[in-house]
Amino acid sequence: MSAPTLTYEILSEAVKGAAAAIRSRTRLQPVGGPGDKVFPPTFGETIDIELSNGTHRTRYAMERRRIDGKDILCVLLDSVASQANRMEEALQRAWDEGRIQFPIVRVNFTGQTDEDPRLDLSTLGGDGYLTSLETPHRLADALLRDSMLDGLRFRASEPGLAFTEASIHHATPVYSLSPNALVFGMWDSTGPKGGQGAKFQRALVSEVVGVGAVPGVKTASRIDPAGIEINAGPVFEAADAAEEWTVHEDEAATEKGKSIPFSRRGGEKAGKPSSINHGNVTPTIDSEAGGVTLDHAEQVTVLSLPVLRRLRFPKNVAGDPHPAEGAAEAETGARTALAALAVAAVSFQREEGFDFRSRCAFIAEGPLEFEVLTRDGASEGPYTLDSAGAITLVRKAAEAADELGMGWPSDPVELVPAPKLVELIRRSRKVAAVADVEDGED
Amino acid sequence: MFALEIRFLTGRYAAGRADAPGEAEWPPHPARVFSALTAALYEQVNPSPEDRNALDWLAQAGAPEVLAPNAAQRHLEEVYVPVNDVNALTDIDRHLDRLSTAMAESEGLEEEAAAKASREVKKLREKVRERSVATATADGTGTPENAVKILERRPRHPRRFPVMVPEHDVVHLRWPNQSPRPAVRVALDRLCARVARLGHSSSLVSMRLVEGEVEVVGRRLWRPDPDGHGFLRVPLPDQLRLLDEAFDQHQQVEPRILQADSARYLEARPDGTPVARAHSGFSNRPGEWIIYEVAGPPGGGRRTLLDLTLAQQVARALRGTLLASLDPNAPATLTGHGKDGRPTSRPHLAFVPLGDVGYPYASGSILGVAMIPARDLSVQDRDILLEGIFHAEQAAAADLGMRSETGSGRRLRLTLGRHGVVHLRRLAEPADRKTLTASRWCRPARRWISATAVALGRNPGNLRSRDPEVVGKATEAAEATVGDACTYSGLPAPQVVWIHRRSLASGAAAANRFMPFPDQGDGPRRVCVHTEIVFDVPVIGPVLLGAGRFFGLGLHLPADPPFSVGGS
Repeated sequence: MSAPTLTYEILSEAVKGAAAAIRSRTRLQPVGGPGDKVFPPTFGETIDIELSNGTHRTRYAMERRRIDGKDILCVLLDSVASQANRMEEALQRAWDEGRIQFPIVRVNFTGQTDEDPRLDLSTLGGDGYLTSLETPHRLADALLRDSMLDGLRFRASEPGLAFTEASIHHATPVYSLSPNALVFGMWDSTGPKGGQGAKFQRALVSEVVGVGAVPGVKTASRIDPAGIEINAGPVFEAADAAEEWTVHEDEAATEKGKSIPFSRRGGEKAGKPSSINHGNVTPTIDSEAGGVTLDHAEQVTVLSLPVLRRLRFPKNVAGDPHPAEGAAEAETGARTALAALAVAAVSFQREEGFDFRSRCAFIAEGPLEFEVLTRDGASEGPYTLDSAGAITLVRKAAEAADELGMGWPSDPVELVPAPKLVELIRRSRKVAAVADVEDGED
Repeated sequence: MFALEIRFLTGRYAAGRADAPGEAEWPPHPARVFSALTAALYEQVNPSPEDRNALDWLAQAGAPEVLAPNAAQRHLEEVYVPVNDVNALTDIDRHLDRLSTAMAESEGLEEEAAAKASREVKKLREKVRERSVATATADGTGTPENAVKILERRPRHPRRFPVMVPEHDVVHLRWPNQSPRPAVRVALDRLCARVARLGHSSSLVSMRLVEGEVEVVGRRLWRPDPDGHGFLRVPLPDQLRLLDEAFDQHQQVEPRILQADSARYLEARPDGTPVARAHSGFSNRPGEWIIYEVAGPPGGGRRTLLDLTLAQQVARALRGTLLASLDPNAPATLTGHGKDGRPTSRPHLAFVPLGDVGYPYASGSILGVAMIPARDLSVQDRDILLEGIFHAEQAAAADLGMRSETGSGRRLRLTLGRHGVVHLRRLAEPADRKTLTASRWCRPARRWISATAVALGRNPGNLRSRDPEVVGKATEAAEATVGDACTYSGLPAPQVVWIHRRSLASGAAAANRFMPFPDQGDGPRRVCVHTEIVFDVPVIGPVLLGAGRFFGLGLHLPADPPFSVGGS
């Protein structure tokens, strides 16, 4: 018999009561099957890690954990920040597809067309919209500050002014504009109030770690199918900008009477075939970032309930105080809606898969299951949640909140980019295009 | 008896040590836990007096015992945070601020005042609208680069923070001799329920108050003790008031290290008896070490940085310089020779080059030399030593043509034959550079790794034979010899010894590069190996082992995971 579904009632009880957190732990295996090599994210520095056969240099974030009394080498596969980005992207897609509804603020670039494709901004963000789920600082992002609502700068508009006054003691403005900021955290430190601006701690923390890592080596080489030798060439910049490069010196661009060797990035390889991606590459063996094999990977995702409980909503979404007896219920309703959004994000991200980067993709070993953790270390559940269940959960939570005065507006708040912002971007692209022709650089 | 129970829900703890922000803090310091409870207090718009009283009570309850598992440091945790302080448009915050203030002030006024305030608000709204349009208009001014930063290439700043991964998820702070009265207990638990994180926002926790017995169970126990070697930050009795005052200052915006007390802690067994710590035969007291740093020549110029593989040469040169300034009848504790001229077996003064090893970009160079006496050096012998040093430095000053008003000038000059000349300058106060501090080499640890190779007192056999059986036997023999070297030095017998060809300390050279040892004289040449040694009790350094221990060989680095209770 499979686990019961995580319902609105269970979620609401958890939020209202004394539970500490809602957590999911999922075992993963590489898509290529158990034992297949994967390539974790690398970091700038190398560190030395002790293995049974000596010291190993690595650029991966490795650590030792104690599991069942043994020291096991583990490696970070996807960080907290990266997981948060993926979950917000998954929420965005679900929203775009109309599967769930929640407030969003977005900047509409679709009107910023231009005949010149370089100056056409109408497809920014893929569909011409950049939303408060996609901007790095969410609702507090610089892009929104430099965009307009009804002719006013965003932070000067009614919603913007209300947002500036928000805090954990008065979270309604953020709740009704862009609730993802209350789930994933936000600090409006560069807004009108500077460092004293609204600060909301993240409620959802997720991380993926590989367990039982054994480092490997990676070889890289290239045999040129056209058999171009290293000394073939030289390759010159073409005088005709549309051509880019040429091997005929009489068609080359010149500087001070000499033909200019071609290079995309400048430096030593100018003029060699490798600058135009031809030629052989001597094999290298990389053991610092040569991939790892794992026993398994694990995603641990935790939703902190105290973080949600500390959010106060003294006013409803219309801006009025709640009726005296209904205040606590209204606040619980709002917090439950946020919790629903959070677990939905986890569910949608799961649905999209665990494809972290090239040669680092995983599949889950079982369905998504949540436990409700109590402060004494016990847990209730597990409760399962698939994307259909997540959609239902968010809808029910939003409806319940609505009855208590904490409903979510159905339309996004739509900004347009400030004309000056558009003009500046276009100016920079024009300059870059000219520079390309002059310097031969992309 | 009561305790605060902390569960790490994400299996990690991310917090930097207050005294060394780049290093990980473990276990969580009681002062930090107190700060988290205080933050929970102020989550309420009007914190209740009962909650405040409860925190005051807790601060006055004194330093708790800490029950925590071992933790390993995650090696890299770096986040690239996109910036948000770029603007393509001129900001209008000033006007927004005025408008907000006027709107707030206009609430709840009556009649005439209300009308006036309302007009003011209207005027300011107009101004804001006018400014909005003006700043947003495409008028040919402005910096395209800023727009690019916002829309296309947002700059990112790296933020690094240390992360510890504990073996178990639960830490307790325990007060064995106190019990809060019911009102305080309820209030404290209520505050605990609100604590969501400890340290960085990604280390989510749940906390509660527990009464009665708390078992140690697979964790280590630290108790406040004036004889302790480690320090934890704990709340002062009026910590709540201090935090309140500090908040007025920082408003949770400024980076800050909050005031706290520092209490000494000692590791104990579950039954409360102190965990025995073993000492090596050498002094671990910083005041008793005489440390020289490698310096440039007196007139200016670059330092000669030699590799640690030249440890024995540098040690011998320093020893020679000192002995030349000592009376021929100097005691064996300093010379290593008895009255009959034969080497003494008792611990005596060691000359130990200190190398840049064990750090990520360590060079393996000799940064200084320490004279490390035996633990029980008498006052008279110490006086003789200091006099000898003084004379040696005077002689060096004369040779170098230095005129010094401050006595001997604290310099020495070592000649090392074909390896050149090394200038040394004695440190008058503790070095900033950790390599040149006693605490780096003496920090109590169960696990030690060799920085310079150990010269084995007995030939183990052929460690490099092609025959695996021969190698196996030789390895066992080498391990046994190292074990004996420990007990010979006054250390406990190790739990386990591993022999390595290369050092586990980054930057340190392989064992064969320390050979031949000794590089002069008629004595037998020793086989040199690197080692990794684990004792079953914490050992206080310095750990110097093997036939070359008085000449800088066999120097070990403590290699337990960083535990901030272990001292710096």
